[in-house]
Amino acid sequence: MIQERNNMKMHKERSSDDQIVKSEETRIDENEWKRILEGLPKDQAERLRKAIEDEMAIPPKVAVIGKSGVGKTTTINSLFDVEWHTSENITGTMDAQKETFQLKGGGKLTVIDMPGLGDSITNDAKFMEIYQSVLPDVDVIFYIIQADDRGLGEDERIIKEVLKCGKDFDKKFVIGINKVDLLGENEGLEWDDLSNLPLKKQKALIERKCADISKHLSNIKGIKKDAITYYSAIKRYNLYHVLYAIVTHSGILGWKIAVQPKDWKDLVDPRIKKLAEEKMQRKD
Amino acid sequence: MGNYDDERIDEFINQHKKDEETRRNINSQKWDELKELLKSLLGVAVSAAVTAIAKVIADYFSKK
Repeated sequence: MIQERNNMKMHKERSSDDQIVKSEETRIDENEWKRILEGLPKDQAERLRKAIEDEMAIPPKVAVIGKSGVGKTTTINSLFDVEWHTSENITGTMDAQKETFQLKGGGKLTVIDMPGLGDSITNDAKFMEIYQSVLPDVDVIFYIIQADDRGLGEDERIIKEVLKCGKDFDKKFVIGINKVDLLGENEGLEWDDLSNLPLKKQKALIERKCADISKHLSNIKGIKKDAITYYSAIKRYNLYHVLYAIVTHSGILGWKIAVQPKDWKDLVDPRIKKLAEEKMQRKD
Repeated sequence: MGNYDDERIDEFINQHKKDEETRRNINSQKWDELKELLKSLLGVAVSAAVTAIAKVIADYFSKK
């Protein structure tokens, strides 16, 4: 039921000649190990080294769920700083797509893009079978909602259905409210491209609207308020907060998730960035 | 640039600080998880050595 594409995908780091510079292996290099194991008795050091390497070979698994158009692929790419190109012929199929990434900050991560519920009742029944087979094995279920979606009814229904798929799913369930940059557009409150941030009025609207959504969804049995965060994948806004929710809901595997989202500051106008950095230096 | 520069600069600084704080919280969370893992792997109680090892590994996984 899971379509596994390239088992391990090498990714490209930003460099002038665009060379692939990362290896496929996740290993702590010898110098790091030396530092880590210094001071431990030899047998204990070897036992620890083996145990940690075995642990690192198992990547945490994150399943991403959301109705079509919520920005699942953009979220995955921004949040984990990877480049996942969903191919045309796979988009819209009834399979879950699985990919394991080598993360730039170290470690590996398996992401499973689940087929979207809510398109039709016939498909939903088939999808639920997939959910029941895939989700028990994942460490985090990440459900994405679109901030400017008018009603939450459908999402609420889907979340309840997913929670019914397995025992203790509520403990690994995280909700992300995406596309907050679009909130307020109808009221003339547009995203500020120069700072790549919402300015005061839009920010207040985003906080208010997301607090309402959060309050509403946390009424669902099992959903905790601290498991709900808001962000904009395309603007790379608040990604650390989403990562925090994911890490804290990943159980014992959270330590393996590298904290290196795409940097929102790369999209800031260089003049604003320079002025802000100067002001921060003056304060220091 | 317009009249909003001060607001933009302040928002930039606020967001930057907020992100840094969250990043520190994530690392601290990861460090705690790792300490627990190391304790079980080594079969020892928390010691300064375990804490130091956990910190090095957690740093490794969060370095830029």
